Amino acid sequence: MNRVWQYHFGRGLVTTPNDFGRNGALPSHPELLDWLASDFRDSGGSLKQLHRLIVTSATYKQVSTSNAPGEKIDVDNALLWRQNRRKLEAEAVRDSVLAMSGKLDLTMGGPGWQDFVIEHPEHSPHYEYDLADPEDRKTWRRSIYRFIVRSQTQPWMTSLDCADPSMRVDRRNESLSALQALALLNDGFMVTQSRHFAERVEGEAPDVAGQVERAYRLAFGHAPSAADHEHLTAFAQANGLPNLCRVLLNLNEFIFVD
Amino acid sequence: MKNDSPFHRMPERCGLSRREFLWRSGGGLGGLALASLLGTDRALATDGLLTGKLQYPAKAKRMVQFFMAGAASHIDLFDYKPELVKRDGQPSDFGEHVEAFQNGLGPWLKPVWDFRPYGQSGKMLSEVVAPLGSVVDDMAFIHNVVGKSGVHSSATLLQATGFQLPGFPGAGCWVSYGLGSMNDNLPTFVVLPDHRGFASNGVKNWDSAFLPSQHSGTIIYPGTATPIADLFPNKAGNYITQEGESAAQRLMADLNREHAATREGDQRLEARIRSYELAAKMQLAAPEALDLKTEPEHILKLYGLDRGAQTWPKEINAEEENFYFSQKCLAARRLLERGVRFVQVWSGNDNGFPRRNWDSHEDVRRDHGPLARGMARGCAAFIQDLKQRGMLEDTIILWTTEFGRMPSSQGGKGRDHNPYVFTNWLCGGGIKGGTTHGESDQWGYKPLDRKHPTEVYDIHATLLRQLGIDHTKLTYRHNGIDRRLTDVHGHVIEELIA
Repeated sequence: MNRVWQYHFGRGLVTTPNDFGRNGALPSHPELLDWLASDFRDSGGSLKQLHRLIVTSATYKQVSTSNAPGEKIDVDNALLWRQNRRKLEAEAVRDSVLAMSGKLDLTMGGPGWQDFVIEHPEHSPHYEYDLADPEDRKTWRRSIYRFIVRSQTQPWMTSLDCADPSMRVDRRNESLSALQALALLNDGFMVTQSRHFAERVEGEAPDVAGQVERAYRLAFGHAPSAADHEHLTAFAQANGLPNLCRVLLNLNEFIFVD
Repeated sequence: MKNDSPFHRMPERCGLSRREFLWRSGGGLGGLALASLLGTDRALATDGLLTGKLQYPAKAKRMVQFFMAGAASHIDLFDYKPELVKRDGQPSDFGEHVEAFQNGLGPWLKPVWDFRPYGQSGKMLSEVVAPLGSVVDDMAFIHNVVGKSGVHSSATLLQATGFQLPGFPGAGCWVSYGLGSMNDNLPTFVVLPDHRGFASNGVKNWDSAFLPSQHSGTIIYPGTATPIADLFPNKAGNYITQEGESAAQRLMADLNREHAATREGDQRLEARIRSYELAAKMQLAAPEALDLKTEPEHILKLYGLDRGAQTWPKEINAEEENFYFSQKCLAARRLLERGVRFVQVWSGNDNGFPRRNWDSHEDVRRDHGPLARGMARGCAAFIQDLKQRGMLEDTIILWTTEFGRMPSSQGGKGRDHNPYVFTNWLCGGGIKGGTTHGESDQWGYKPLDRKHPTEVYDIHATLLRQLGIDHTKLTYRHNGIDRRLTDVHGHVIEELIA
């Protein structure tokens, strides 16, 4: 229960998910944790039902806007008096970018996809991620189908804090670094999908201003302010729509979900 | 309900540095405003856990680690065994059962090259590492280092992270965590791998594991078009121009600031704005740091880089090894000068064919020869270079490998793994030069005093001590344990400290 709660809210009711009891933290809402556990057991153990229960709850549907009185009492939001702004994890960033470009292939099941080329397969294989083709359509499926090489992690995913599968990680790191910025700006996957994103909106609006608005709405779920729309359109006219799309995908608003 | 468990740890609060605290209470100030509050040079650096709180006066500010992947033979490089010279070719007899890795228990094999004395200390060095003779009086040798395993992957991890299993931070990660960075234009911990590939377990040797991920080693390939991954746009992004980049940076900063203005109290938003500024700085700083061509001729000559890249034969050869290793050494010096805290240089890659690592099972002369000549030339130049610049006194250098090799032969010309004893050497950063600490037995098979070997924990404790750190006090709570680089072991080797 605690882990599912952590995945939805960013922190568990017990903040030490690998340590319950005397070596761990006390639950912020012990009665809730007990109730979730017994309800789960009694209703037949369906995770799907648990997810539905959590995400349709009033707690989950709160906004993440902070305020001074609340911060005075509970600055870390242990009591969930507001939602937590989430930084998207690596898999969600990847899938979201593909959703923007319109290339996300939702086909379920089947063998995973590989974003590397194997060299020296006979002994000590090298997994060359740099040699993979970003236009390989097989890699446009959901991240859940990604072939994970435990011995040599994928650098772009790693820069977004995708955990090393050879370790036990109860809670992923959340880092912000220059290297992560470079990965989102310059990686082959990002620059390719930025172009596809541009091609998509070109087909969905007749002029640059309209295409910029369409791209913005797709990325953030709301219209841009008049001033922002003006600046973004000017940028798109000077530097092309792919560059504009690349900017949108790199903004804080894309990476942090309110 | 109050959470009063003594073990409770609020992840958001752990390790909150002064800078981070100011970010929070500043209520979302822009990076520039904060910079002026802290003063310019402070604003450029990130504090470590122990910044301003070192347990000892620091002799060294920065570190370099040279890692020979594949297991460099102490017998053929640094640990002179006249007994082997005498008994060369005779059937080997260790006087006890030997747990061999493969079958390397053939006749005694004398050191493949002759040893001669060097420097004022008269240290015996193999002539294959003769260039190090010019700096041997600054070096401290430890000939009784022991490991735990003769298997490359666990042994390499042990020397690199202090643990045999993956999931523990590299030494450079701990140093970054403890001391922080000296600038933000370049990564704090830089890794220069062998250009042909990674050693066993690759990135896990320098991964931050449970430490915050900014402490991971950053891979740099000097001499390549994109020395840091994604430093410049992938070629698929041919629509990206330099002007467009500057405009994009400004536009993103403006939109991000506007976004952050209505989301007060979330320090991550400001931090991410800053990360893009730093990325732009790194795009300028990294190529500048790695532009070896700007070095004066006499420096390039010192490293053997004056002729530049050549076409080399397919077989492993000394000139090529010298070029690539020296290139990494010179790049390392430039990076250290520009404020990088820890540079880790790898020689030799994993087990491909033809062999390009130190794992000379078949033929020591063939592989160790070129690798050693290249390594010795590069290391000697590096040490001299640092010395001339006055940087040797506050830069600590460690040369290590995952284990040694057997004094008995394997297949006539090779040597099998020997985890029972091997050699490390240290230099600079307040380490006593011209000394030897800890001997191996007459064969170079095990430590002479089997009850008092040197372990990696002792080496790490000593290195941290020179950096001003008590190794037992640089810890991180993970899964209920106060983890540290030296696990629950390690003592400082006082005899090595000047």
